[in-house]
Amino acid sequence: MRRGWAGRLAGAIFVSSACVFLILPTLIVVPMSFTSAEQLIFPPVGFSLRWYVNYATTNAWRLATLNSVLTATGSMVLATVLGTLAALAISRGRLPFRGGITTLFLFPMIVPSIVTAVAIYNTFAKLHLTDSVAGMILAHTILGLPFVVINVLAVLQKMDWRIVDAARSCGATPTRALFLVTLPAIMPGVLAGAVFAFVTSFDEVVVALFLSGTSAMTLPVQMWNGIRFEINPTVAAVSVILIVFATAVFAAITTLRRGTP
Amino acid sequence: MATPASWMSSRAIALLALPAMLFLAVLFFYPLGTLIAYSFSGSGPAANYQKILANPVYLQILQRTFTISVATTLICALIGYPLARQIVAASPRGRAILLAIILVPFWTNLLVRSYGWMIILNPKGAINQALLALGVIDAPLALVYNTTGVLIGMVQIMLPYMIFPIVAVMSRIDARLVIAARSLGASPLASFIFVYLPMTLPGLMAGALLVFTISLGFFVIPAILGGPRDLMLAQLIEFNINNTLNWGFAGALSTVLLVATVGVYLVAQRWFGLGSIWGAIAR
Amino acid sequence: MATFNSRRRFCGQILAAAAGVAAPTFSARAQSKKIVYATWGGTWEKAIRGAWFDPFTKKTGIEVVAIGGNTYGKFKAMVDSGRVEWDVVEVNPDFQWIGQKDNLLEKLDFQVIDTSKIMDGQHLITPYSVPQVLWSRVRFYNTNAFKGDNHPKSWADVWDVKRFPGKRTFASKANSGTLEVALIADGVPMDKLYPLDVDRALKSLAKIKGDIIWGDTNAQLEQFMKDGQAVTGLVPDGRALAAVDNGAPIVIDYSQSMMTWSTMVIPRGAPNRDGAMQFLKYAMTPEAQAAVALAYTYGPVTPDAYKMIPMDRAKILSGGPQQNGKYFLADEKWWGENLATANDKLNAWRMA
Repeated sequence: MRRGWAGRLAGAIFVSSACVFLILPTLIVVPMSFTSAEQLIFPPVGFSLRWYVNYATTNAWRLATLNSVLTATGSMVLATVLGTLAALAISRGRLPFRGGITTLFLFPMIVPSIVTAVAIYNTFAKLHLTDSVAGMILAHTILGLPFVVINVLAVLQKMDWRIVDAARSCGATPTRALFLVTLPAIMPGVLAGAVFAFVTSFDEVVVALFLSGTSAMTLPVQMWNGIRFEINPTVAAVSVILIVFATAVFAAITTLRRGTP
Repeated sequence: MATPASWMSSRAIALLALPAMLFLAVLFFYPLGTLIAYSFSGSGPAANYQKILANPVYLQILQRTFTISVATTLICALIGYPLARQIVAASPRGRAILLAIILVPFWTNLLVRSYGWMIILNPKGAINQALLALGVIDAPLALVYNTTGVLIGMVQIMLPYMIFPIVAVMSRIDARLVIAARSLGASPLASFIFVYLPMTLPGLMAGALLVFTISLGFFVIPAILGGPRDLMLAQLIEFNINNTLNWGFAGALSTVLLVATVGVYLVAQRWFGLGSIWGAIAR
Repeated sequence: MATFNSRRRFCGQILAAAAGVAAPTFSARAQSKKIVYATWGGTWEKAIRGAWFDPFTKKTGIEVVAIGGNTYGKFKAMVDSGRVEWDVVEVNPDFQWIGQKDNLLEKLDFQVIDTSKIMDGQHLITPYSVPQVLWSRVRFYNTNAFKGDNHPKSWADVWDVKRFPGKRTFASKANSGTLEVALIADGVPMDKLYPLDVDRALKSLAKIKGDIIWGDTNAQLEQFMKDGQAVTGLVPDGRALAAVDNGAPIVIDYSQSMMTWSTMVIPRGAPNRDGAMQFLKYAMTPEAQAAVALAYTYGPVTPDAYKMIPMDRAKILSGGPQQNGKYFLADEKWWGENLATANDKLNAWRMA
């Protein structure tokens, strides 16, 4: 659709303002991470890399980063697999009370995370799942499931099932049809859900706080501990590192996936 | 229309949900049920619930929580939908850049972000100083420690949740349908309202669902950026869990929130025909 | 019980093994000579590591492992589940009753812990807890707003917005001293504050409601002090001192200040109960108290410690000479029992 230059200009202004809005508080944090003061203050004082050095050299921070990456990846995979299958079942299977079951899958999102944390702690403790990465992965899978289900369901609405029927009538087995036809068709929804599941886990602090112990600390928990008394600038440095890293990964993936929307 | 050969019996497909359901049943619903059951303990089975009804403050807080969540959802929809449209219409490179920018807030720790907003929005902060210097305003605007601050903070956090599902659905739309509508004589506005928008509705609904639900449970942003009138339910629940150890009451508050939320879903389903969300069969 | 998918557990174990983190085994920690200390963290943790943990380890050979996340919710969840990971926990004094009500605390062995050197004060020591350090909530005023001698000298002055215009800041949690100073401003003498007449306090607060800027976190209070958004108010002394250090134009006034303390407890079922008792015994010695007072701006709970603290340090600490006779001790027992109702009333009032 062609729009006049006024329409395009308005559109550009809108998009740029929205982008600025989205990254503004993060931008503020960047200069603060270079402060030489012991506290996170604005405007920042001096210039120093000590908080970056602190992050890189402190064992606790490194372990927390590793734990976070493992937990987020693990729960993303588990949530995406379970959630996609569930969405397929809801959309195409003959489930009784379909609306009710879908709502049940949304519960982990509806229930405030502090309530989830308190509720599951006892069960996890009895199963020896506290203070372990495995337990953290399972807990975050609970939290990530609704995101996958919602996103995959949304895309399943637009799915033209005739292409699956066509594949089957060409002789494909159900499994091949699933992997070679259905999944690629719903991939945007699956990816959106996976991204949400990953980020939800990576940024999650309330449940992680309950389930963490001396060995299974995650990055947000470590950051939160550095914020309770006064805001330790290492927290700001970590945020900057995460952004740079994530952007780099994103750029790498996009260049590799040239051609796919 | 003749029923095509199903590629797998519907019963078998239904079983695909089983792993997820078992997983949640054991690790989530059973523990949650225990906590809800606990909310019925105390000086009487309904003691905690009577407390909620007896004190108008709690209902006020519940109502405010819903209001703020609805407002956040609407604002996110108004900003997020056009933004999603731009993303899908952009070149692959532009799209990647925009998506990266949208993901950037995700990588910033929530507390750090809230602190950033506190600094930007306060009467002596960057925005007010800029506006004062430009002569646009005479006195600093109250942008923080009130509902405005809460909304600004929450919209910034929720926008990605709105944008992604919409983008996912939009990217699967056959653009030729819109072109066809135009070539049949429909105006741009009409073809948008009657052809494009309905096709993207599942994405919009999914985004709205996500934003609304997550907003209900938020307490960090209202605590840091809000004023006394912006006390949200999750803050109260957190207070009862972490300060007074009144878990029975916290359980009761959570149950009320749960029931109210599910109630809203049912109402919305009836009014806005959200059957598409629950996976109505396409044929 | 319900069927549990054994395949998932297997996968979980593989993952755990891959991460090199095994499911925790609770070997008798007493034999491994280690205690776990749950702390608020930050620079405070650094201070007590130097002042308490390292000397304690040198003296007894018991290692102290610090860990964060000492929230009451986690405390209760841990004790209820029967798998306690902490030995000593820092808490606020209201937990002396809140924790005991839910049967979460170990009874202290006062044959081991010598409490004779601790100062006199109502509810400082209970069968389940000892005080950790003293701190206070004090009045400050901004020297740019109030020049020379024309500054608020009492809480009644703070209530006089005509003579001393500007915003006042108070913490929004009910037990932050806000209600107490409102009563003092209304004419209640300091030794007759408790039990608090919450309604009277709220009526008093209503007189300056429009001039109050509430702090929901300590960081906010400090920000208000620093950038002058608030010209006077009630703040924790540690925050005020930090603001002064960072160049804020404020002066701290100890008159009519509220003194309180932080507490240490042992969770019921702690793995190394004996080691925990040893630690508390050490922390209650005047030497240990003096060490922490030199490392962080908190006051020692043992008055003898002041013999080891130089005067210019002593006069910025809680309980120091500058505060003599000018403070009241918070009644933490009243707060332990009435926090919920008082907080509800304050919230309702603030929202109206």
